[in-house]
Amino acid sequence: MPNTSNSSQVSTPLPTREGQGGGSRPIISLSPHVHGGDSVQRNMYGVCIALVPALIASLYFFGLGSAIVLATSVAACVFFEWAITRFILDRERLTICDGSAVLTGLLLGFNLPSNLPIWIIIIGALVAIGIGKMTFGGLGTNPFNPALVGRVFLLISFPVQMTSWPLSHQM
Amino acid sequence: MKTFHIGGVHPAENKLSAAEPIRTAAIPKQAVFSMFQHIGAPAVPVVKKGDEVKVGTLLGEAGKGLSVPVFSSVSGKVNKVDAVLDSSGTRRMAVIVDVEGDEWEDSIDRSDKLVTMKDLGGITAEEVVNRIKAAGIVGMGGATFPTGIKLMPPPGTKAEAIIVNAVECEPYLTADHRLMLEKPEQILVGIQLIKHAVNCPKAYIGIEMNKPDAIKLLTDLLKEKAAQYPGIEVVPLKVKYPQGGEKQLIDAVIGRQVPAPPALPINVGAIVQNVGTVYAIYEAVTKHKPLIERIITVTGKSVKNPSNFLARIGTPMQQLIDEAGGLPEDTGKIIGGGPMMGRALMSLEVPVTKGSSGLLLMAEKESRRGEVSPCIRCAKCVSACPMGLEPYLLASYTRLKDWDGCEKNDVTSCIECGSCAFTCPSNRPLLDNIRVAKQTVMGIIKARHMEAIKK
Repeated sequence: MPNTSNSSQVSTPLPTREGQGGGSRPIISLSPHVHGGDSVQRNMYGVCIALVPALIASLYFFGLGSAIVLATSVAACVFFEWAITRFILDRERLTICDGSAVLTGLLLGFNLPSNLPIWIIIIGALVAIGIGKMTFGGLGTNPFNPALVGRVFLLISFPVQMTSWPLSHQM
Repeated sequence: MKTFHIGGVHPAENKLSAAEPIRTAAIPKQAVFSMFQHIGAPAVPVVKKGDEVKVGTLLGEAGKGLSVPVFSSVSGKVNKVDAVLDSSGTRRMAVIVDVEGDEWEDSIDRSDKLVTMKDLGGITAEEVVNRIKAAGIVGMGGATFPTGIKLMPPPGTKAEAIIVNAVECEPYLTADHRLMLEKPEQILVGIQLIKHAVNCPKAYIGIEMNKPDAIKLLTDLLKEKAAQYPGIEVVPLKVKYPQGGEKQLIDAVIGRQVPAPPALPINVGAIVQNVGTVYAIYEAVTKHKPLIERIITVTGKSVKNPSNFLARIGTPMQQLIDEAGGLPEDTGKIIGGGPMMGRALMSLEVPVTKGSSGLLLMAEKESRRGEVSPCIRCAKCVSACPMGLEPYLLASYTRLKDWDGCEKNDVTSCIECGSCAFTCPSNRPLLDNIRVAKQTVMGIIKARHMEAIKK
């Protein structure tokens, strides 16, 4: 259609925004134009918070041993997530901040005896994150719970260590 | 407290203009009347360049089939009849009028005096429907379905309940709220007219609890004049989006579920009308006033004076923004309608149309979507969907172009309310995907139908 004489068809420029070289057009997108503000991170840390009572109980019943197991497991899971994303998958965007690795670490730790040697925990974390999660594509695409993949691997590989543990309190 | 039963979300209400009385917007210098302000076939222009028109003069007659006429809301001279950019971003036929003075057609009663059913005497149901059709009234909540058609139940169906949609569940918008506060009795007469038109004894007004003043006003009025307005009941509803959806409202108010398309609300005995439409019906039947103005909320967090305007249809949005204190510096997105279902506009020259319930100016920093991350299968979209669909699944099928899978999972039932995308923690564009599938599947169904007819 010819578009000449009518002033009503000339669009009024919006105030130019800095850093948008001549960007005087409004943003166009489909509805909805608002978002509830929920995020993956919020969900993951929400689960972590929900696990706090279990964490307290574990520290109460199994003492220092459980603290070491949990700390190692979380640290190892976060490390492997970072290392695999960075060096093997060569992805620019790192996902360690989304809290999913911390959660896997926590869940794996809860699944292990409190006197398990640290090197076994690290192997468990590697299997959980490396095989349970990252081989399938990372966050959201894992067919099984990564922490449980780790646990099953350790149970099969180290049955003795995985099935005996001390109690710090007499129950 | 009544509400619908499946899904729903709670967006921040942000009803900034709820306390602002309706202001009459200035008459524009030039008005643009799109021939495509409703669902169905476009209206056909009946005026040509140079014609003198008055307020209420017919500009376009109803097209073939589902369609409504379009009237001038200003007086002056037709500048041209041409295709112009409308709110959908496409060029469509429109009549552009250069305004001179403000002269109204003699047939329109411009007085404010309340006309009751008694004053109308023995007006027939047919006459009511005819006047509604002739006035070019469409659903004013945003769907713009021709109202006259809705008031003619197909054979075999019977209207058992009129449900007036006064929910206004979209955040920010307050046009319906203000209308109820300022024209309550006119709305009640409008409801009586609808009841009369479809011979239905019972009407409900569904209002969400975030408008307690409107609930109280209408309830008191109905109590006080019970004899004059029988069979009308105010139903307070729990605040939940998308309660203003036709099917959700029917579920909330009378507890009936409309089956999947092609079933219509009338199949469960319900006729839903937006409260703005009810007011337009009142004006059309009692005052012979075609649909030439409407109430529109102009709002946004940075807008100086968020307002509710009574604006002539055809007024450029730019003018309303100027009257509300000008375009804020930080504007990033201009939305025609509310933030959940509204449409992002490309320009401020877009005119007010029959379906314009609001104009929302969103700040640049709120205008962009968050970064998309992988679906974590939390199923929040499934809990949020008011139609009981599985948005994550439909979105995946769409990306795989598995239209069969989409059809089997009822993609055509989607009402495009946006609850899924609103709630998704991974910011996934679920509704964008589903819209593609819905369009495609509807096309496939239509083609199949045509094929069947040929055979």
